Amino acid sequence: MKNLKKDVILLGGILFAAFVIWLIPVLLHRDAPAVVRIIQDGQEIGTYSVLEEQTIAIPYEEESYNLLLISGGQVSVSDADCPDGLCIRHRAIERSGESIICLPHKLVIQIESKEESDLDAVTY
Amino acid sequence: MKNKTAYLGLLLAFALILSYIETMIPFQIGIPGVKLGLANLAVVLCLYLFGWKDAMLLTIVKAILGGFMFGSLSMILYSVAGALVSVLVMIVLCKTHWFHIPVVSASGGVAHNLGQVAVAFLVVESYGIVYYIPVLMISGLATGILIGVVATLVLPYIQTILSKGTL
Repeated sequence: MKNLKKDVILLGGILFAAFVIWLIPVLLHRDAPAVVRIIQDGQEIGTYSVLEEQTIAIPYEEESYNLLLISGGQVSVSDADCPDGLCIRHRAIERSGESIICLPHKLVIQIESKEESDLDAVTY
Repeated sequence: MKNKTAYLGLLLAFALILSYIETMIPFQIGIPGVKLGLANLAVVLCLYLFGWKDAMLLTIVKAILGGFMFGSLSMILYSVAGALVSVLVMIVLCKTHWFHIPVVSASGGVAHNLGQVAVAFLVVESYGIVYYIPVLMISGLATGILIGVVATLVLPYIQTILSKGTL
């Protein structure tokens, strides 16, 4: 039978699951972020320090590109010619575990701590 | 039921209008195809009015037509995946008769977003996407509850119309 108790249990369960998943990156990435990793089409194409001010052009296929801006410990996409432009509108990322994803160019830009990228290299 | 095809057509049109309205609401969090899920209202109504088979049909047609009209071809893949997971979850929860409509549709909203994250994960092959999941779950929950409340209020009227032909 329908009753409020079951409703509350299910909704509470969903909220609890969301909270637990939210906790995972928070607990894993307590240290200060160190590197920004660029992955295109599942292949890592570079790792850069977030502390170094620089602009990185990431080519895609023949003529397409994403322009990555690292400034003041924050990483953002300053320009790109992907059809939806979602990556440009994405706010700047700075915390470990955060990422900007540009699906049209199969691009993932994520911030990680140094130790983690070592482990990930093993996993890949 | 008399005129069922016509009513399903109306629900489909309703779903597509909601999809269109949704494209005008800025809600971008970086994963294509992730939406507020307003169009889910039509699916919820269909599920409670006509049963699971028609709800399933409506979901698939809505995702494909909506994708062609307001998205791109690759977007259809994302929305079909999310929509199918969502409608399956809602069908199961509805069949148990344990939960009120807002809870059923909230679970559907959460399932929709999780399905889309799963597809996005397959495309980009990055664990960074996990970061989005809590936000998506909460937003799916919120719109799901809202839609469920609207459906609860509207359903009795539609049922009257369906059985008597007038209010």
